[in-house]
Amino acid sequence: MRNHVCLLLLVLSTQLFGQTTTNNSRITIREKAISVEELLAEISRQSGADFTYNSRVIDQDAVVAFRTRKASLQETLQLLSETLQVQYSIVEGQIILNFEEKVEPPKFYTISGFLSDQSSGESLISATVTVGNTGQGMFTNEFGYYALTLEEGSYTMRYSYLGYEDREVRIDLNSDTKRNVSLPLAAIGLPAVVVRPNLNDVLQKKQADALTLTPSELGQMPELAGESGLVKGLQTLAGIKGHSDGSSFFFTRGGERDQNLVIIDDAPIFNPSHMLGFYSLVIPDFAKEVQIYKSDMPVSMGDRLSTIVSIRTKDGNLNKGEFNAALGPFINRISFETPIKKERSSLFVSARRSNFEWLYRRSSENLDLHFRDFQLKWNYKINQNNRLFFTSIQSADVFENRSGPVNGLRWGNLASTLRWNHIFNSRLFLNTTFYTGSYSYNLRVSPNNWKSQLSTASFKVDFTHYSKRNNTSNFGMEVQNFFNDPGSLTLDSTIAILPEFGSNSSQKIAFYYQGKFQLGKRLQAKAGFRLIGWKNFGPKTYYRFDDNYIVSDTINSAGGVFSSFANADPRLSLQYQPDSTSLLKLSFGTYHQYLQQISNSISPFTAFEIWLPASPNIDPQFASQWALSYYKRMPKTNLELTAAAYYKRMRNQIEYAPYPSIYLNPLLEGELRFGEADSYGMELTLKKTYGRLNGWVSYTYSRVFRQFEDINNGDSYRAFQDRPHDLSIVLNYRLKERVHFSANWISQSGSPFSSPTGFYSFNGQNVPIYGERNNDRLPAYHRLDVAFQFMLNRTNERRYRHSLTFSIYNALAHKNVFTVKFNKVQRPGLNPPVETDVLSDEVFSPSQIDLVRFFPSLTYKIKI
Amino acid sequence: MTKNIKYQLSLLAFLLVFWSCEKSERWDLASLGEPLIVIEAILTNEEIVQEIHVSQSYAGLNSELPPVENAVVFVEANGVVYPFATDVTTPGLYRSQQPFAVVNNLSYKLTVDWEGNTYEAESVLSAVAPMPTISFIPFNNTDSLKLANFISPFDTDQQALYEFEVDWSHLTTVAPTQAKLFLYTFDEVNITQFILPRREAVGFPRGSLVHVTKYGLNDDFADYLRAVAIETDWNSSFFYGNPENPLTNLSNGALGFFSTCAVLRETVVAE
Repeated sequence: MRNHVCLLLLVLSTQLFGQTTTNNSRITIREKAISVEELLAEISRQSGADFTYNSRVIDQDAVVAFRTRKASLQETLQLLSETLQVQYSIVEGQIILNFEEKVEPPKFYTISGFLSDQSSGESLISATVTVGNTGQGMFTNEFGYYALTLEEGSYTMRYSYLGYEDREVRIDLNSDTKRNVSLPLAAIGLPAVVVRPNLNDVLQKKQADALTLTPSELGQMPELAGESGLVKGLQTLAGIKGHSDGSSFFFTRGGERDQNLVIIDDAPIFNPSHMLGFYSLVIPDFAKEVQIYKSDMPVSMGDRLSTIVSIRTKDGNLNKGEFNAALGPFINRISFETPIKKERSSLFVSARRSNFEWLYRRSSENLDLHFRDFQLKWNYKINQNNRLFFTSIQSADVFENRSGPVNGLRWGNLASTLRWNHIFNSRLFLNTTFYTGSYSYNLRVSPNNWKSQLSTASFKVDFTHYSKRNNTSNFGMEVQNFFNDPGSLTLDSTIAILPEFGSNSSQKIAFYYQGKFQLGKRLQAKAGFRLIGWKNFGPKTYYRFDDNYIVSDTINSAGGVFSSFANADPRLSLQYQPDSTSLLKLSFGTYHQYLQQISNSISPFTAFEIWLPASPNIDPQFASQWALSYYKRMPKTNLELTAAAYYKRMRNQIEYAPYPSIYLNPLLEGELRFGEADSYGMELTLKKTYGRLNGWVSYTYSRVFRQFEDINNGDSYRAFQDRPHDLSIVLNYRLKERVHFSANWISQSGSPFSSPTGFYSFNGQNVPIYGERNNDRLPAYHRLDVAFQFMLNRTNERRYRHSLTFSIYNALAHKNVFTVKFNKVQRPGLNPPVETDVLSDEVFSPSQIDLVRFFPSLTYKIKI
Repeated sequence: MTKNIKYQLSLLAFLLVFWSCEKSERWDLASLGEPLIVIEAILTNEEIVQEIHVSQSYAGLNSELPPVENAVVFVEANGVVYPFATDVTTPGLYRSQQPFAVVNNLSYKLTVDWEGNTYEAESVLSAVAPMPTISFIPFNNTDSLKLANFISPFDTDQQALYEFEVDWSHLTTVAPTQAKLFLYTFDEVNITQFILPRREAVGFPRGSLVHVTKYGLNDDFADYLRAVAIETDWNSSFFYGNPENPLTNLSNGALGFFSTCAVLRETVVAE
């Protein structure tokens, strides 16, 4: 587009100043209004250079302002060029003025849409969208949406997702375009182990430190009593450690167990387990994807210090009905999905119930021991730009004796989400969510009933903006209202009056923004913040404590806000792509946590949970974390290597006074002690996602130390979760066309614990003496689980598919000790008792307790 | 397979899955501390020869109790000193040289001098609520009996220690012929109490003599006993916390406790 200038050039030497060469004199002109003709003449006079131009280019009579002082000719011409909107060149002493080159700006348009499963219409999360060989690409968001802005032209778009066939679509992009694409399943039957999506060119879109677990990966893991558990899957990932067998607790990068947030479609689940931790609340059929953030957490989520586990549930089949069932001796579950209006609306329902009754019914016919779940999802596509989702999750655990008045334990979760997706335009996506979450716990000793509860009712507006330069911004706000009853008792009237307990009412408002910016081809920056305001509302009676934790003041707040906090949490990361196969990421973030679980129990079992909000006596917990991650893909071998190192500092951590009184105690906050924790570590994961043999190996070396003024003489000590070495191996192997084998191996250092340094006698009892906290360490944990899955269909032509899974949990029957006790008498065999007769001359012996050893299970699954 | 065997197997399977396997195993303690002096001093409001035990801590779980025999022990209240002397037949046991009763509204101060160190503590007399009706229930479907659950572990109105000394030596000469048990009532609930570990049930023949002593507890002694229970009787319950050292009122690093308690005594025949 440069040719026309020359053609139009006519040399009209209107002003010749008799000099054909320029001098080096400095040019000074100060004119508020000067005609162009006069201006050119003045420049020629001072510089000695001649101008040559076409009168169609230059309007000589135009009046302009021109100010320059002791400028070189070059500088003067530059200013002249800008003033007159012309180009200049100097040829053999002649200054040639010409039309400014008018380059037509490129036109950009956005291609956007949803990716979905061709068969079910289920949206595909984190699917890849790539653009020919341009090096551009992205992942779909958590609703399957993508938006890419490209220069006008023709492209070949490639859509890929693990387990699905790639799809290429040719587009002529000359306007903003919507293109919803559905992908066909690549294989039917066994889990997709051989299909490899094309990941070229999208490496830079990957976040080096975010982890994903798919139901397929979870489903392939060996099961405990017929169920693959979410938490057990998490424990195989680098940096995440479990408590012990049968526990749903997990610890991430040195954090405490209450510093992990599990959300299902945005709604928080305060206790994601059943049967004191043996089972996960999430029904495997219901989950679509599990994303785990250990560092550089998205600003749209929070506020916990260690992990966010975000579970997205399946939407339900939009095209045809589908039925799934899994039947076993301990657990039965079914799920059903059906279109309500084809391709527009669907319903997904799943239910699960334990089946333990056959174990105890003969001996204890009045015992009721079971857990159950019910999960439902409905979605409705209003039109191209609007979609509604509703999710409801209910769970209950019952452990009651019904002989006469009902006595026992009962606890459960109830969470619901109503979500509206709206596309304002191809580059602005809105997700609006109303959600509720509730966890309640009841201990009934008839006619008394102890109850604790934590509930939330919340609203969140979340925008995603895809800019023309393919930078992504995420911003929005979240309002969460919490109601918290830390424990109340409904009493028999004959019992004496108990202290008054106050429930807590709090509100959190968070504003957030995060931008992801491409700084050149290899460097990506992500920066954002989360501003959080926390308010506690009265009426409320609360207490001040002196240095000895004695009540120094009682404050009765009549109503309104009686305490508040405001904090800002910045999140920054830089991701560098040294070459086409690797990523390097450095991130820093701070985090605050306003709700804490109050429990001094270190047993693996979950129950009796009390939550307290930040308050005048409890500052919000705080953490800052630096993390350096490296990701390397080795295309020839289909291997991915991830390495990470981190340092995390935590403040306002919670410990307890010796023998704290946690239940029915209005002065509970006086039982808390506050201190700090430091953790650091290194994590390595080698993963093979595709192929007949796939799986991963992860190793973590990590340490975590806590320090509290009132504990352990103020000296630093090893935290319970300080288990330096942690190795997990997860392997899946397709033995034959219809036989699939999987195995897990988990080895961890044992947890530190306090063992006695001596004993003394009081009232004839052997009282242990303790020295330094956590001075001892439990034996290392080792566990091998194996599973064989047999597809019972000989061909894929049948309408239904069914399979049989045989699993062995802890196949080597390794004794994984989770505690050592010193109060039992020596007895041969299992379960030595506590001695109660102090005159007894029986010999005391340390006893070690472990849980599940060699547990086989058989599960039949059918899908119609 | 008989129904009974089926039932046993199913119950075993249930226990294997949902509860733990616990086994007596050797465990070498990671570190051992120096021996410390231990003082057990519970004085009562009865006009009797009061007793105080002084011993040392020990390293082994089944070690012999190392007595402290040459300590100087006395109690002082309102300017009156009550000296204690070693019982030569029972090393470590110190008896008051005169009978005396702890009375209300006085502060009693215990002093123990041993090997150049002085250990002190103070206490005032606690109150005691009435004795509950003592009852028994059959022991393991036999003709023997055991204590019924007539003591509430939680009561906001009182805190108490119950000492049961059961004697059936007049019924048989086959050992054991005696048993001693402690039970508690506290005004706070501890998490370890919710699901207690398996505890050995103590049965005794009908006609046994059961001597019951109920000690009313001050708050600090109740806290101490509750801590001792957590570390001993209640330890390894379903929900256990970090172990701690029970907080003593004795100075200078001594272990144990000094308390003055109002007591009620009752003897019943187990029927």
